[in-house]
Amino acid sequence: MDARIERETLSKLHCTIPSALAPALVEALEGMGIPEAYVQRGKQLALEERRGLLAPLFGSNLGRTELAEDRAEIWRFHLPRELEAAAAWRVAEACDLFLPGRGSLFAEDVSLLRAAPADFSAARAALAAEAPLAGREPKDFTVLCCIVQRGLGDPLSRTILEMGLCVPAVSFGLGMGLRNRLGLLRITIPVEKEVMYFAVPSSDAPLVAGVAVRKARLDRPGQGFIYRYPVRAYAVNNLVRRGGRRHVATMEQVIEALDEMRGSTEWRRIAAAPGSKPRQPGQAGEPGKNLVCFSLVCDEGRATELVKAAMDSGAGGATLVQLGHRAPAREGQAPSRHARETCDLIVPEELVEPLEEVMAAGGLFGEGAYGLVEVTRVERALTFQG
Amino acid sequence: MVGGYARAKLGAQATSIAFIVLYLVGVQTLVFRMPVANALGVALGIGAVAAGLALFLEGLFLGVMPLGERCGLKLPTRTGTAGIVVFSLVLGVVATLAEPAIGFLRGLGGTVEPWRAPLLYALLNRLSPLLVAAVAAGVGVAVVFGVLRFIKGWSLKPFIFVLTPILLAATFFAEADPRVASAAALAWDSGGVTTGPVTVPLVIALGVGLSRLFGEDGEAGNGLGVVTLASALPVLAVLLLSFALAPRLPAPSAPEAFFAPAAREKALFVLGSEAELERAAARVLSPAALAAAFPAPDGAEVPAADGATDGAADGAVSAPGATGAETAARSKALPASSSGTQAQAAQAWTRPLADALKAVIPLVIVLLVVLRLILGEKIQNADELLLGLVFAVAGMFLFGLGMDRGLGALGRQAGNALPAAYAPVERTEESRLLRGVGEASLVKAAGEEGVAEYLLIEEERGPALVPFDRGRYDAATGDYLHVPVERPLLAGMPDWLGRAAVLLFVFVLGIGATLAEPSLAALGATLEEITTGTYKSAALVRTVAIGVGAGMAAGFARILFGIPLLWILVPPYALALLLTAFSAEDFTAIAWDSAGVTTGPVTVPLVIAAGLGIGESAGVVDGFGVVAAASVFPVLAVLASGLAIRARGRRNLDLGGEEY
Repeated sequence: MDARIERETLSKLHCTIPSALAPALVEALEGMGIPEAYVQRGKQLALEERRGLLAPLFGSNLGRTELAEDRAEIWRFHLPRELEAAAAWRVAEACDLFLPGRGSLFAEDVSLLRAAPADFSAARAALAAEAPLAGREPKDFTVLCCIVQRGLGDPLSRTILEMGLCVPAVSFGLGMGLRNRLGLLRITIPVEKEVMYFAVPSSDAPLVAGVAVRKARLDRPGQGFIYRYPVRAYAVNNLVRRGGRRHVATMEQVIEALDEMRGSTEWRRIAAAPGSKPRQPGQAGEPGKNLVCFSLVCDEGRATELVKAAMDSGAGGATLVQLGHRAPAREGQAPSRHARETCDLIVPEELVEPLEEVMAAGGLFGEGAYGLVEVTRVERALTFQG
Repeated sequence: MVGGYARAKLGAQATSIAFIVLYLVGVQTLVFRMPVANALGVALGIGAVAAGLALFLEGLFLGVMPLGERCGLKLPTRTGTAGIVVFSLVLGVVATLAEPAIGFLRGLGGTVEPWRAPLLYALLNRLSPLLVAAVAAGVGVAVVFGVLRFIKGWSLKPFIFVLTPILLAATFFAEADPRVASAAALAWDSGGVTTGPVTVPLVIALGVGLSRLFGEDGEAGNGLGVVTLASALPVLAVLLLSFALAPRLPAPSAPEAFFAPAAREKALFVLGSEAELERAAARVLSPAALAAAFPAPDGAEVPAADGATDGAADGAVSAPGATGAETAARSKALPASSSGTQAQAAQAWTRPLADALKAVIPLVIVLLVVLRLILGEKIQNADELLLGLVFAVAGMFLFGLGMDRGLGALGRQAGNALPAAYAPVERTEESRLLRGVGEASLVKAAGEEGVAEYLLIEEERGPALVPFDRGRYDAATGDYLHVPVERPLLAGMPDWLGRAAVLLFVFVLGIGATLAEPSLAALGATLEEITTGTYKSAALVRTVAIGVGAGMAAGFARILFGIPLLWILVPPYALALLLTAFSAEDFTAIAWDSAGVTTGPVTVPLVIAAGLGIGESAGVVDGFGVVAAASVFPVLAVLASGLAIRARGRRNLDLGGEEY
């Protein structure tokens, strides 16, 4: 592989916010000197209690609970590990993410491969003196990423919300697995997918995975895919239900306070997760399956061929998601805006190196491709294997 | 696999047209108690519409829209602003020239009488290249501004705040000037014509591509808005052209005044040459008037007058009055229907195919040339793209055939029956020639308004008294042509109730037709995609449909109750501007783009079907109010829904979704 290609280990921050808060986030990122960020369109879901027209006359029993969808954006950016906490608190404060219903902020470790390393000197200068927020430590969370056919995500989201497990964030993507090997007949298979992210306390992850498998029928062929990875949660949107307020604090706030008092979320387990044992916070995850998430990010229009090459080298299917690329204005230059796309491939760890070679040979790190590869740890993945 | 795919796509479109089909059949058979004429042909036509829509939309999503989006994504990174401007201009002009309806507008020229609407005649005949150039320039400039808006991050609102009042003011000035009045409706039709079912999805996809590149968080919003400009600027261009030509044109007048030697110079400008002038005069003027208008030099012959206004007689559209919606309907919908000759029958098949090819292929060629030759881009999924283009052409062909023979025919039948709701209708197809009628057969009855005459005739159920019309009686032979008259459906009820029932009919008709609009379906699908499903396509279509229904009702109320046009248009446009001021940028673009796509190939022919029936009975055929109102009410509906959504979003942000 080309010697110029650099490998770095960084923190990757994921920030899910309502679209209306994007300007505040952009301002915060610029203030921190973050060199670049990627933005993905999405939505956050919640259950909303609607009062029926006749509710004033006959009481609130006539109301109904609907699945409410709010436009959201999922922002991602990289930082040196030592700056992660300071940047996370700055972002959380800028977007008021500690308020219920606002959004979520997570971080994970990522091994990054790209042609030219980003310049974090401005970020180091801006965040060096940042004091950590007293009493707020990141929590041990797991994100479950579930990919299902477009239109089939709502029942699963509703179930997760009704169980009070988490607020799903959902994005649209395009499937790139078996379909691409069918020739022109591929048009008969829907390409549109929903990419759903469930961020839950790690102890709840097996439960959510079980619910997802059952509800989305992931144990059947062609129904979808789920994988999970550990994250450090700095802010979590836990407002699963909106509606008339009856108390000075929401139920979610009360639960969060109890979580902190009890030191874990174990006290609120409502069902035994299949094949899982209760764990204490900080305990190591389940036995690793030696899987990683191999994500390639590149200029719009390039991913299809690269994924095809990756699949020829042994990777399974992938889901393509469109991204925007934002870089703040530099001296004498306008802010940079570009269209990018990303594909996540869940592969055995031993396949990473060959795939990196394939990506390099396919021109991912060449001029005009603006490519990078992220490799992150995956705890578990599940799909129908035939 | 293929079966399931085809079933799903066909089923979706069958559902989208089911409402309007069931509604029209229900109204005709259950309310007006009239059978559906040529039911088999209509049923086959409706099947063709469903299949055509399914193929066409699939073709758009597989072929046309990915190409447009790719151009939007790649062009700005490879060429400078000048390159984008040139591309946009070319795209706009080609889109206009490729639009089959433009050719039809020109084809209408033969049906207009030059003395009744000199400007319209000139624009549709001798000066038609100027008309096409004006429309093409309007669309071209619109696409340029639409694209620059994304690059520069300009808001759509200033365009709306400036253009809307200018267009309304120009229209009212045009209506007030008898020389220009006839072209006002043509101008608005031009705006509708250019936002055809291929152009709209293409420019939407182009905008989406650009917005992905330049971001959706700026003032330029989510990739929509080009359709708004492409609807408005051609109207302005044609109105400006009309005002520029007006000083050289005569006012509408009787043929004698038009052909009078004193007005010769202006008449010559309308018709182009002395020979053309004389030929037109010969068709309409009496020999004496002709001789007076064209005094023959010694020994020369005066052209023979045949006294027939064949232009009006053989035109499917009744011409200078064939304004507004009528022109648009004819233009968007499709070839002239019935014909006895084999050539015309063949044309009924070849015309939709030619229109489909013309609408799809030139635009695609422009995009392919730009992508492949100028940008050096490899065409991805070329097989899928080619299949998409085949689907789009085949779908448009089937849709064209089906609209003419199926849904359009059904609409015409129901439209013709409509006036029966509030006015007596003559059943000419059931007329009988009665022999041996004499004065002795008549029965006279005295009333407050004098003596009325009745004739006792033999009916199936026995003798019956019917009103006697001396105009149909030949005293010499004793023959009487009896034409049965259907009593109004709401006979005995107040007159306004019948008219209100008609408004209810057109309201529901507007909703049903809009549910099947392909351009709106494409806009809805795009919107659902770019909002990650938070604004559902079905919600947009529903909102726009209610707006179109309300707009059509308002437009027809103008005809039925004689309400001034000003009252129908100014309040909703003023309210639309007010709501725009308070709306978010994305909803502003969605709302105003919706206005551009509502006047599509399903809605307009059905509007016309209803309009012709009602208009004839009311003595008015002026679709302008209907089209303009049907465009602005959806804007109001979408803006209002956008404000409601934003208010809820703000509440959730401010209060964390809690209500105190």
